[in-house]
Amino acid sequence: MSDVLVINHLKTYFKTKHGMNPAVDDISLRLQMGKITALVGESGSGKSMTAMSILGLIPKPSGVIMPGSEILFEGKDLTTLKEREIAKIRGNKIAMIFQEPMTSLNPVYTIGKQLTEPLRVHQKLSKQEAKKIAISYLEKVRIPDPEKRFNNYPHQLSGGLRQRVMIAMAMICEPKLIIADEPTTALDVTIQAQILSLLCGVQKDLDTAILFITHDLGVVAEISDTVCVMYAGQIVEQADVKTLFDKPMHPYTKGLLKSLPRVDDDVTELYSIKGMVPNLIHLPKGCRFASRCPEATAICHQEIPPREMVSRDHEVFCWLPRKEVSNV
Amino acid sequence: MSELLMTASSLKKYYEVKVQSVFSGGKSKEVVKAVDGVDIEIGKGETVALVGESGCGKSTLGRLLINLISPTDGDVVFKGESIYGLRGKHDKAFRKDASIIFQDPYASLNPRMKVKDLIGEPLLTHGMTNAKERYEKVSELMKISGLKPEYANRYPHQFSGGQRQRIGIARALALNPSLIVCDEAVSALDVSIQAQILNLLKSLQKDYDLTYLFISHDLSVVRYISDKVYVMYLGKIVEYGDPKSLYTDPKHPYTKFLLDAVPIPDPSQRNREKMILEGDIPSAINPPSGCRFRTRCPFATDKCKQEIPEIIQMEHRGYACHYPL
Repeated sequence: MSDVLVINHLKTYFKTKHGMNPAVDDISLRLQMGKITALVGESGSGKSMTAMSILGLIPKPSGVIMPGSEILFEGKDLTTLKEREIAKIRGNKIAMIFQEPMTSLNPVYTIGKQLTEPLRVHQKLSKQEAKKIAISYLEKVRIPDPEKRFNNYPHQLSGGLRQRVMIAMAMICEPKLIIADEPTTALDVTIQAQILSLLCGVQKDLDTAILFITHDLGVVAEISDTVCVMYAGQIVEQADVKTLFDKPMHPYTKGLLKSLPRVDDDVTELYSIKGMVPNLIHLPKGCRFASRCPEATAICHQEIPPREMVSRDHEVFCWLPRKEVSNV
Repeated sequence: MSELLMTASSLKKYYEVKVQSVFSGGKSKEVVKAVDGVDIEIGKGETVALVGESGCGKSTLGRLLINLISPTDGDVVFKGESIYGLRGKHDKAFRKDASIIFQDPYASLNPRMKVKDLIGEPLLTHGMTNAKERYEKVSELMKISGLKPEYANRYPHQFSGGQRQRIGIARALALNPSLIVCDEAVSALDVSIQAQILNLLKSLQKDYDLTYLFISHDLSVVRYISDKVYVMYLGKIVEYGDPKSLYTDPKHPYTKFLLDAVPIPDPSQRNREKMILEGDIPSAINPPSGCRFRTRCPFATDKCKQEIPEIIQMEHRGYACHYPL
């Protein structure tokens, strides 16, 4: 399987007046062609900042990508590129879909103008050529009456339609990678189901890689191929979707799955992970989850856990697998 | 069925909106039928859920039920008395007996008030003027809600989202109400925190004999917490029942679509048979004639266009559909 994007030891820190905030702290992952990789975690876990780091959109000067970080895309390290070079990739070879379709579309331009912009900028197409392609993409995302919608302004569209426009805009340059940051979070469930099925459909057509950022484990189970679970700036577990849901290893993943109410089953008592996420500026020694972990032992509070490969493609950032081995 | 605490009958809330054309300046009046003829029964000690998508009128209904807004028509009877006819001390007594927890723990707490004053305000309003007594009660409420009483002098911004929701809960509990409306009370929270708050609400219900009206768009949460579920669509109840039968055997097509749309955290169920609903929710200004769901319903016929379906009662449940599943 060919890798579209490889992240090695990415560290994105923020300078604050209270000290350094390691929002993304040593993350490594691979995004493969034709695969959907889910990055799942709770608010503040660093998932959006990982996406922003890829796109070179880290707020500066407070945000810094630390030396030693690598984001490899088509043989280039994106962290070293100049703004002008990365602008050529952004929206062209790497496209993005954001959470809030209301705020990510410009209210003063028509849908058509915004849809054709990437084609005009990146591929230098004429207005007429670009319009033809844009309308064909509006059809692809199943927007009724695309000719008319082309001349509409964003406020004339419903939330679901706006998100379809965002998907069309992301696809229009046939990118190698689409980064979708909580694309269905602001939508109602019935609209979410429409958008997810649409996204999976276009992904198959284009064979692109998708980095899908979400906090919803239900959505992860529905669409992704591989899953990375983030906690306090780090990936704590990484596996293919079936393994992650059937045999989770990290106590955080296990806790999350047990704390989900289910629509398809009666749950009498929900498990709840005690406490809350530690302050990233004053991190505890050892494992960041240790204070909330029901299986933590002395070593967890003292030393940073190893990255353990428990099987092929299943990595856990935890002391537990080692302890089990030594017990045998 | 337990004793009834609250009954709403043919409750309606219409809003008049003035629309002015940007170009001609011409004005016209339109009517939004946010809640349009709703009957609801809430039993004592039950958790009754109101589910639906945005704009279906669930929050408006919640506010009507505790008299935060007045209805256009219809009535709500609470403990044998109509809540809209109450005046003076009777009205005050009702407001003591029914409280609300809001969705957004950031917006529903005054940032300039300390926690002890936020939780103490309802106590003060209802006559507990002795400051020492009041703060003792506040400490107790904080403990019950899982907050450290030492934090009483802090401001809301010094708390996390989950803790802020606990402050909202402590405030709602302050006057020992019998009914609490939880309006999307856990929607803004992360899953691990959401589970903590849901469990807290459940245990408080047991300890203090509370009745909840739980308003939510999240069907998984609703299944976990509720004893009875009402499904709303465009200002009307389309189906209600106990969660088990409603979730496993929905009668109204909308309920079925809604349930099918919920993602299930189990990859082995990815290819389950599911119906995906087309289109968007229509505007409440000119709702479709007949059955309001007919414009999106694959089973709709001419009858659905012409006749408004009445609620058909069955044992413990009901639905409003000409062609139930």
